Amino acid sequence: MTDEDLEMLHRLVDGELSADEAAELEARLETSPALTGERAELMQLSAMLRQDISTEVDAVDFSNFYAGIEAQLPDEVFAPSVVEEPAPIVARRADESGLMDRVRAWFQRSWTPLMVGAAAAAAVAVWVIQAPTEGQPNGGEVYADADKANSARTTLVGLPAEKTIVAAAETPPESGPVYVDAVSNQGTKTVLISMPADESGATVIWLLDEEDEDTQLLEGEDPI
Amino acid sequence: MVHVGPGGRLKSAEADLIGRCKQGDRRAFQELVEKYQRRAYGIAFGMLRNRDDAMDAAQEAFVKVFRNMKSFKGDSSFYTWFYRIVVNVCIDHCRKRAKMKPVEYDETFRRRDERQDVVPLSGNTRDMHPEVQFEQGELSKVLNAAIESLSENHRTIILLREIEGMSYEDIAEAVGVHVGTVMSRLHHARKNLQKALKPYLEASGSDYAKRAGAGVRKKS
Repeated sequence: MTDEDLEMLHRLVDGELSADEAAELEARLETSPALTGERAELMQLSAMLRQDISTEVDAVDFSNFYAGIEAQLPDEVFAPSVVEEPAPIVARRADESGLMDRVRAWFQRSWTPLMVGAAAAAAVAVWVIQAPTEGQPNGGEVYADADKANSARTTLVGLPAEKTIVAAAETPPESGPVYVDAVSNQGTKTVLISMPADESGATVIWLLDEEDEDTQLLEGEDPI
Repeated sequence: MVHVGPGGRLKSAEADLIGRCKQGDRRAFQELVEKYQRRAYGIAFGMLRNRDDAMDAAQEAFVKVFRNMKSFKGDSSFYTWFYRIVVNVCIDHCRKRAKMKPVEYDETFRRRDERQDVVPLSGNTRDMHPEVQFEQGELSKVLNAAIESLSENHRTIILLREIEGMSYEDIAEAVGVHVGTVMSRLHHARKNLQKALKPYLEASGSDYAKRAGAGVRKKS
């Protein structure tokens, strides 16, 4: 076994030979007990050294290791500690580049005020409908065309049965604008309902005949 | 276990960690220390063969790492730079202790053989069963003596190779020598240790190899 053989053997054990060199040496190892024995010793020595250090390192308690280092460093070498706070929403939005991210961000910005507004409007509407009005009869009393009005009421907006309906007329009043809160078709009739509009604060229902000549489209008129 | 990319180049996570250390980030530095502390201590113990000295040296190395972090440019691997610091600190400790003379391989064993008052490394444990000797710490003592008999240069090379598994190229970079010098020193260090531990190597055979997972490494 020459010095060159030994050098090659060391490089083989260390993984420093190319694939071709390793294959060539492996072939020689099969026919050389001296080389084989040497390789076994090198591997044993390596294992022995690693086990020696590993056993020692495992036996050491490193819990105060860093503290010992920091004690040797003055505080000023470290940057002042910064309390980590969540980044402002605006800053985070910069990263939301996808379409879904932008939609989600829009909803986060707009949905809450929208919902609050809608809830407030609904609360006011319910209060107006259900609040008893002074001087007006309660208990579902009907002043005119009661059958048609009640039929419209149940079909239209689910008005409570006990709610007073002040008037149910075939035509809206001529004077002034009429504010309609809901519209529905009842057979040949169109039903308009105006819940809190008039001065009395009661619900008003109009039943209109769909076949009225005024509703017929003129030639060339846009149905919309 | 620290994972280092091919050739020991920085991985992005480690580059980020080092970048934060350079800015004086205390938490990042602690993370870096915790990542490398066992390795630093292992090398230091291998070099100094004393627990307290090894602990002091490893901590001192980290202090130097932090102080010199800004000089680390990142164009070489951090871990070779780091080991260079660890090894240099250990060598300083060795010299300060003045407990060990840097003696090269050939002289070491000729002197030991010539001196009649020195008990051979294998000593009176030669006839004991190797397993028993190891369990009693006898082999550890012999190994300790064998490693201490190596020069600082030889010890450094063989520890970086055997304990850290560094390539010849990385060792050369860490120690600041040519690859040929690494191979030469490694060859002599091994030969020296083999000579000192021969009875144990022959007796213990493949048990150690099996226990420590030793095997022929293949070059990728």
